[in-house]
Amino acid sequence: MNRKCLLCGRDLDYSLSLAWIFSSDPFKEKFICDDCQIRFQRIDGPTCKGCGRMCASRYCSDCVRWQKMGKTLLNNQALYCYHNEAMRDYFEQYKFAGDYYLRKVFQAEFQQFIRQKYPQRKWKYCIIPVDWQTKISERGFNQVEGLAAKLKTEQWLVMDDARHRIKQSHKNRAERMQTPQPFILKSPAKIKNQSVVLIDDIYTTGRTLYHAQALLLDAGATEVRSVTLAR
Amino acid sequence: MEISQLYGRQVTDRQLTPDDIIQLNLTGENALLKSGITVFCRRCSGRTPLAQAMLPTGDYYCRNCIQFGRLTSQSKLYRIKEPNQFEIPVEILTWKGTLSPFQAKCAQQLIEKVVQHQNHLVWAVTGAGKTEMLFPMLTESIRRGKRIAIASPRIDVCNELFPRIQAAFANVDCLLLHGQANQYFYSQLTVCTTHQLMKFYHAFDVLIIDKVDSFPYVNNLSLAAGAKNACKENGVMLYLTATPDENSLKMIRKRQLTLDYLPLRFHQHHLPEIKFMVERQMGRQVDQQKLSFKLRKIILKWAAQQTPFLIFVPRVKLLAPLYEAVQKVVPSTVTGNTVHANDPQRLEKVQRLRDGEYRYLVTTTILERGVTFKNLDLMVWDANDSNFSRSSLVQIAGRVGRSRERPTGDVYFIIGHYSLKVQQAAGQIKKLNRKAAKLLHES
Repeated sequence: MNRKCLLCGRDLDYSLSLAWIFSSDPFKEKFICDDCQIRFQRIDGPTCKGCGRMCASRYCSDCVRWQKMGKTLLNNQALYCYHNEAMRDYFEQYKFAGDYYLRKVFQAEFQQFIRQKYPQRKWKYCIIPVDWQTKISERGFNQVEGLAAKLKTEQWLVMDDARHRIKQSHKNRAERMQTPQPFILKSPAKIKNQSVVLIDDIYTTGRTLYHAQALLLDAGATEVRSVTLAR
Repeated sequence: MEISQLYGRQVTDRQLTPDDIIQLNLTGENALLKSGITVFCRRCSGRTPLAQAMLPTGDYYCRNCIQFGRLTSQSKLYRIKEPNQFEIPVEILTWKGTLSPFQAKCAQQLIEKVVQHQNHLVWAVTGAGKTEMLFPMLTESIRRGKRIAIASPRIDVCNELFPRIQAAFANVDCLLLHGQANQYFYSQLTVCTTHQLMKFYHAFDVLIIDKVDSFPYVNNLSLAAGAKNACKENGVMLYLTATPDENSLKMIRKRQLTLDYLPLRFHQHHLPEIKFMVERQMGRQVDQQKLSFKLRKIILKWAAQQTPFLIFVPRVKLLAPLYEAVQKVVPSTVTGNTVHANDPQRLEKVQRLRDGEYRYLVTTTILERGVTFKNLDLMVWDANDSNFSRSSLVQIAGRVGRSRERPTGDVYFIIGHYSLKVQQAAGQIKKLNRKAAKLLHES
């Protein structure tokens, strides 16, 4: 059992309530303390129907732009705000410093969120891959696989390693939008008439996810949606 | 890269280029060792359960020291021997002050301990002039060409110490090293945080650790191991503290560490002793935001004195109700505020208390050390709480009476019952005062 908060290192409070002892709820292991938890901002209230950011109108200006480019919107749903200090620090630690164990912080919640929104009976889950160099030599893991490790996922997309690729996080918006298609399909035959949910860690401009969507739709998928941890 | 950049260091292959490794003829060893179901890291001496350290590629990494750059089972660690190549100036000590007889006696002890290779602890009260006391020993060690580090767990202590050391040894190369100042060069004298010691291996002949009792060094095995690794096998470790922790007291009992006292403050007055106040129904006083008669009397007395006072509380959620309660007691001209660690206006509020704009602050433990207010009085709410350790209680009591004009002040601990911890804290202060009385009597 985890005894210390993974983010601030303080002792975790496992005091059990009487109500819990007589209930049938399972014991839930904690990974971060309540103080760290409230620093993350959950997305709730009205959101943009296209990308899942908090937004008063039905579609945000970015999604209107995607629509004008002739895309079907991804109906992205996200759990947390990315424009939040705690979330940025978390990804800094998890992805860039490479602390793979931090996947536990959001793993259970994220998986439950995906299962609830997109039941496995109807949907196939597809993870956005990372390139070979990052996966093997630098980071040693795919951050999305870590977050969704217990889900049954399909390895349909692979990164096209033939091209030299600059990381998305090193670019600004305009450069991101001009990124060419980075993926190739592994088994196009299986995708026909499937409903697919793309799973990624962060939705920033949506460029990566729309590239993946285009490939899957070309291969005959009926519907492509997406879920991310942060927006 | 110059080889001198690497003397006494332990570096990973990421900090070196492949050319460096060939040119300087370095040999590395695996950074991580797997033993059973734990992973042992050679850099930080930390142990991580294998289940937490696994990567999907089958490698493993160390979570403990990830802030210095991740080490995986693929990484190599290079350790370069320290040759002590220093140019020793003619005039070493450029400080022209004099030590008090007590400081001089302590300083002489330190020189002897370094010669004898005996680890040593100096138990000096808060505000005793510890830094100056080090100078004779430092001078002697520099003359003998030894490499020296002064480490402290806190950045602000390092920042404060460095200019004083540099001014005292103007002809010696002096280096400041911490998370925000990481420009490294090879120097005889290093002032750094205890975290930075992990980047050294068998580098220092004399390693001084200031404020061993403070967070994060206390109870942190990997920092202690890092400090031990940074010191040479025949080197000396010297500890300076106002409140030795249980671990060092144990080592003293086992005679692995010798002890010396510096019980007098620079103004040669005793430490203010702790007064206890047993309160019933402390929870209700918080809920109703109404203090008991005894407490109101104390606060009114302080309010009438025109001096600042602090109220320490163990938890952030107690700040608001106690602030309300105090506000009800004091006259409206006496203003105050609350302050805690994540408060963005923290420094500003503390400055306002210094300037006299605020008369009091209700604070968490962040003001427990390193801050000096003149003419202060204070009370600690619920001193039995687990957020106060014995050493933090002694430190809090040490905030009082730090000026020559008013060397006394009130220290009240509000408790529900007498616990071992608060009695030990009061006992430590009494013990030092007895030592001080004896010293004064002898001289």
